[in-house]
Amino acid sequence: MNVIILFMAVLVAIVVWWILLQRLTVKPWLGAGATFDDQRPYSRDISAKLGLWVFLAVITSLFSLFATAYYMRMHVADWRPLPEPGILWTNTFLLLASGIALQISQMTLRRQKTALARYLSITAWCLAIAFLVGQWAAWQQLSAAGYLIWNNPANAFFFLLTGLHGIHIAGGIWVLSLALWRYQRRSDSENLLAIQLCSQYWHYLFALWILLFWLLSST
Amino acid sequence: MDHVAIADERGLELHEPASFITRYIWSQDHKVIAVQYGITAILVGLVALALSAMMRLQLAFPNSFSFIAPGDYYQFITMHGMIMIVYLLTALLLGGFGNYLIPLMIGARDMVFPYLNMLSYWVYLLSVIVLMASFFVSGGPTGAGWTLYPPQAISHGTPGADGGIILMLVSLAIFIVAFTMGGLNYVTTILQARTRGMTLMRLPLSVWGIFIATVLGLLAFPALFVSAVMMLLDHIAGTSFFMPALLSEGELTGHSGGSPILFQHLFWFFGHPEVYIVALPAFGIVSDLISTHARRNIFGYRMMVWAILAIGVLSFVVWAHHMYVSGMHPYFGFFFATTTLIIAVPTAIKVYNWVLTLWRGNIRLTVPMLFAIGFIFSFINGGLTGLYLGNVVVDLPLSDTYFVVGHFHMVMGVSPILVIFGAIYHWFPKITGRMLNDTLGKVHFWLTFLGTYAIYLPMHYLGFLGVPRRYYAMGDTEFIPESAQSLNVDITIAALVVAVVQLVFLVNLFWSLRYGKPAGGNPWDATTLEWQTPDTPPRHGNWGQELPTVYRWAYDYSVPGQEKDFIPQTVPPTEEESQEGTKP
Repeated sequence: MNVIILFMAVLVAIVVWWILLQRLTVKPWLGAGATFDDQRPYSRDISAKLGLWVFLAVITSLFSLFATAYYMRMHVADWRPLPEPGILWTNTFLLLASGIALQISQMTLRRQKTALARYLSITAWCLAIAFLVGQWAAWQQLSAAGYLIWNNPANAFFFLLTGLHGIHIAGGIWVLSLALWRYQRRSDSENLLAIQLCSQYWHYLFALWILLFWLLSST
Repeated sequence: MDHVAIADERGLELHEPASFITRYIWSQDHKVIAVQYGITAILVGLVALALSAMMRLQLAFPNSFSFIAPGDYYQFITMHGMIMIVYLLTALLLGGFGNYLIPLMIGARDMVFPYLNMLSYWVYLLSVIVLMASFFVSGGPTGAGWTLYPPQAISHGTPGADGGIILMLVSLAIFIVAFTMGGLNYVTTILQARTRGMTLMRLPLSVWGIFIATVLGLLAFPALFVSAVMMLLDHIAGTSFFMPALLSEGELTGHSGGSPILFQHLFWFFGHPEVYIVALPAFGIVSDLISTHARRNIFGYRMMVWAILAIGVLSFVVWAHHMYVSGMHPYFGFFFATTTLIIAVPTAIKVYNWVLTLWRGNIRLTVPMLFAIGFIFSFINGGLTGLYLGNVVVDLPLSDTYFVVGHFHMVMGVSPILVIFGAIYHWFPKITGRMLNDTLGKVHFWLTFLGTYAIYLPMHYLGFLGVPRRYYAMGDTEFIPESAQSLNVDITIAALVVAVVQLVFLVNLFWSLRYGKPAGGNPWDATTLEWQTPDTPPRHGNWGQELPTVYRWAYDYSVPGQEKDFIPQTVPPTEEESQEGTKP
């Protein structure tokens, strides 16, 4: 319960802060006329980034609820913690490296080194695939050791949370694939936006993975 | 490229989609997507309506229909509830009206992510198809009740516990994906693509309602997703998230230790905001209908906006009032009863403001206005009974009786549906260019409005008698008097009449599409942007070559000293006004 309440509290704080910026106390019925001096023109880049951030809020809500369920279920007597396979540390490193590669790719793209940026993004793509393969290997190790999904709720949560996180990574890989596929046909600014969005998403999923990893090993 | 840029580039060519398929099927135009959403939602709603008619037949004449077995009855209840709440109301208000109204009311050419928007509709359609498929699997659809509580939802013996429940959960998960795609679009579009001069406080209340409801949906639907996924795993992978150790038909099931209460928390963490996901767009739309047809500015615009925000926040801290009978710490019950009563404050502010908008207005009793006023009545009724049920001590005896059925149908069944009807009568001229027939509309309104009262008002009385809900037949029960049974017959007759009257509405839709009176651009003399489009129905890209500029708020009706009784948002200020505008 605490996790989702904390998340909602943070969100409410953000919303209240945003509301305070919006001058919701103006009296719109007074002062007909032009009030667009401080309005900025429509920007595709800002919209795309905002869309991504809203999406990240949705994912945060999703995983907060899972974490809440995890804590509530953990206190039942039949909970048997499972050992974390060592490969998870390797995977963590792979995901971190993937995000860093995207970040550098974005920075090189800003300096118009288009080809180098492309190679860096491809590297990031490969590392992310390696992460997924590593997660799959962790699943195999656990299953082989007899930690099956239906044996214990701790196992079930492990498979469920890593699986859902993996699906989100896979979705990111799909978007990055599209961006790379169209890379040479697109202008630098379009590529920069795509890579920027991907790298923000990657960093978010890395942070989420760290939290999940901590959550899953905190038993 | 068959979609248009949103930014107002001068000399921009608006690429009209060329073929039938890109225009009407794989369309990225928000207006077409809105109509697609609307038609699908209404069709699936008709299925749910038919199911409710069957339920009423069974309740009035128990043991007379061989085709309604007890199991069927539970399946009808479940599917009726789930379809009406999620696949009709949510989809129609946000997917339908949200899609149609947001870009037109804020002065944008389209949603900011048109492709994602198109995908949202098709994924929604997929979820509907998966749901409908459950009627045709062996065992039929799930009969677990729309709340899908475990353990019975996935236990052997519940109707549809094999295939039906799986399809239901999968369909819900798909729906949530579709909603998320649409919701990202609505939020981003409202925040980013408003035209010049359209400040947040100049937005029509419809947009405010849809906006906050979308935010609620984006945060609350994940809770349903989480519970659906975990229940699915309990069912097909044998996990024990929600399933405790159980004896079923003399044998232990493989589950142990799961917590059904955990499911209830997750479900209602979604379920209560869902009430406002449906109600807030209805609140917004009805504000605009009342203001337009009463020729009067909305009373307390700022209060209306703040109330929407307050309801949005509060709706996340009341969920456990659905779980009083599940048992909880008394302090929790106290907390949730208090928050529930607090949420009545902003809601009451809205009701007062609607009534005060009507006060001394130049009321035109058009069909949309009739529906809007009908909404105020049914909403006050349903809202007040909600205050009863929000208190723990009153809720305990009334829980699971017909009082609850009467309450929630009044407040989140009839009320939003009346608004939806009003909104369809109001915006049909913009969508199609033709007016709906007035006489048929009035027949439709009066029979529907009075009919729903004939259905749901007596249910409150049944509830006081203690008649339980969800029962297939009452049998010989001592505390239920004979009169309750004859009342049930009357309710059924009213329900069947109301169901048949909806045919009048459908006939009106089809007839007016062809033979309706041509509407012109602004038949209601309204101020908001969607009535100022150069073409009716608006063409692809909505605004021709240049986006409109907004100079005033959305409610300049009957401004003293003006020639006409409305000033559209696009009209620049007069000299007097600009002098006034310099004042704070």
